[in-house]
Amino acid sequence: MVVASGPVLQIARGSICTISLGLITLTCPLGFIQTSLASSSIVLGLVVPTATIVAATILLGRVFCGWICPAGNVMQHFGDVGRSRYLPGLRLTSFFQQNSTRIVLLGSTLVASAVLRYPVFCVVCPVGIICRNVISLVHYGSIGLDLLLIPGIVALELVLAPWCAHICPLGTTLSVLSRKSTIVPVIDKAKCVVCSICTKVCSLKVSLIHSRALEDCSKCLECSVRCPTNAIEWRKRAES
Amino acid sequence: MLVEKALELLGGTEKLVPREAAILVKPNVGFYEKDATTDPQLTAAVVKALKRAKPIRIVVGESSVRGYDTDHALEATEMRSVVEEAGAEVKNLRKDPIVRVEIPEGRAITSVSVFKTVHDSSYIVSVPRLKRHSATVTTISLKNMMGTLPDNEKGRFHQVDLSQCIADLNSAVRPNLVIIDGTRVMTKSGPTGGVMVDLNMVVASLDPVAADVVAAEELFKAEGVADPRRSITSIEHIQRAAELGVGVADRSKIEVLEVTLA
Amino acid sequence: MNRREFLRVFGVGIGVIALFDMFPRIIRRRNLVRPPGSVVEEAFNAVCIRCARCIQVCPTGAIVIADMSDGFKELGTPKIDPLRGPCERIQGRCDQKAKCAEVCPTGAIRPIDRRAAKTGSAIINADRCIAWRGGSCLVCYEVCPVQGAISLMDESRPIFHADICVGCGRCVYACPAQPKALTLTSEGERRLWPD
Repeated sequence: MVVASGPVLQIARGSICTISLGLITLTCPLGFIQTSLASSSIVLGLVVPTATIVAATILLGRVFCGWICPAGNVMQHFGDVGRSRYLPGLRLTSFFQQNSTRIVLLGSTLVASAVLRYPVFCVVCPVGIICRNVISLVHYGSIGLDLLLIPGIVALELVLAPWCAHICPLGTTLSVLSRKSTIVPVIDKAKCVVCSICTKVCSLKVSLIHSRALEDCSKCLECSVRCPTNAIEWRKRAES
Repeated sequence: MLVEKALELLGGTEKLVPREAAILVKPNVGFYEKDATTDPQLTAAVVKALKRAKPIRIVVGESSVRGYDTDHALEATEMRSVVEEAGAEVKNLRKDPIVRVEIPEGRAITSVSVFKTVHDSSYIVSVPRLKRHSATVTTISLKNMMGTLPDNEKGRFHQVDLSQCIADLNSAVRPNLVIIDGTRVMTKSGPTGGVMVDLNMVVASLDPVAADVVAAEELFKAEGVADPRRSITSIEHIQRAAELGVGVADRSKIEVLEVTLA
Repeated sequence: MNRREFLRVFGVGIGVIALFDMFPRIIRRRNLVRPPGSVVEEAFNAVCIRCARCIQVCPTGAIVIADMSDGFKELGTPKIDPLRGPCERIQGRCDQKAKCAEVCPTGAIRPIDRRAAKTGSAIINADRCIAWRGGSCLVCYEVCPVQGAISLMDESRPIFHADICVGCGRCVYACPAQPKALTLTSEGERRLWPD
């Protein structure tokens, strides 16, 4: 919502691909890597804006996914609801739930960018598509056919896997950076009643009970808010 | 100074302008360049003179040539700052709502869309810069009235018959007073890129056609044209406006009071 | 995952992209007109991060986002549409500094000297031109900011000189003919070379 309202209210300059608020400019790290690969050079103007997001991600994990991305949560919600309503019996293949699959997907977009010489994922990125269409709508009253990709991705989600947790290459990039994130959710074993609500509500499919995929944690705080016994705390990693 | 004197010769604004008029001053701010647009100081002098007639309001309004942004033109020519300092409201007419006006005597068009401010004004003052024009030979007070039209209407004029449409427009949306900026005039070609000549002249009139005729003659004289009065008979929009009764184009019937300031 | 699954995912991905890439190119016949100071097309598509900042900042609204029909590679990048507004790098609100070049974070659009800027050229379809069909119209000649880009034949019909034209598109925007008698093409554009 922050990102969508930025261009509308003219507070921020740009879209999520590169956005400026006053003197601070931020850039999508995946966009930086793709454009650098596509042009066989380091895009100097993006170095500092990328570094800012990278630093934030290393410290806090996938906060971008939890608090800034306007696309992911929405699409994934439709995916989850759609799947439970229309395809109740469907068992998602474990293929996409393996970590290696999403790494390969990310790798493919990077290779494609280098070979085809343009940032391939930037064109289909749902976040980018939403931002650009908001800007074009506000500035000259029209939207593009690329918006159709959004329901297309939701449809893929229904049969393949949740977008944010298992497919999104930007998310994968941020996960890689988050491996050593300093703040993590921790269960107080004394209070925990093993109800698994935290696992069910996590939009990034982090399994807190099994301490699995903690690097995917987006700090959306949903688990700690919904825990019936307030057993979840946010601590520095060293202490856990 | 020139403006004051010219208006004095006509009788003074207190006599010319009805009480409690809603005045629209229409200068030429069609482009971003100062040479191609009415002098802001002159426009401010017009505003000051009009204030003596105690109007309800004076609006200085314009809708620039298509492809030029009116707000930027008002800023780049300094028209906005100078006129606001003189105490009138400056309006970008392009942002106005549009009103339809009938032209009962129109030959090419029988109705026209104008901006609401124009329609709501009871007294219109056309303040053009004296220039040559590629399509209409000259652009003076009659052509200047095209700035009261929305863009698509301007386009329609060119599609139908530019000169007749200008005449038709002026028969329905007639300037009550005309003050022509002849301080620096554009000769040889226009409405942009011509040769600027200092004439230090102002032509004022209650008759836009007569004013255009007299001013065009001065322009041609400055260029060294062989027979200025004959050249004017070839300016179609002026002749057609005279035919519609907007004013008098016959030079022999126009009385000119001339004063030279030392 | 095993090699077969890997190749399948990879292959399908590349196939989809290649298809998207080819299809619009068959429909679109003309090259896009890019903002003044853009780098050569190959480098432009590689480095533009599709952030749309230039669209937001253009004072005339001339820059718009290229859509599906412009090509998959070009989708999301900026292009000039003179029907929305002219480019004022030569004369107007950007004649000191191009606002698009100022905000571009990747260097796809770079500052360029006003005298060197040329986004393309305007071309005329005389069949549609009011003047060429006998009417009285010289709006293109009146609004052109560049001396000599348009000259007059018999003082009434416009002739366009692509070598002098800077491609601002003001004539295209102002042309009152319906349908428009003028188009802006990328002919003769001056692009920058990234080091």
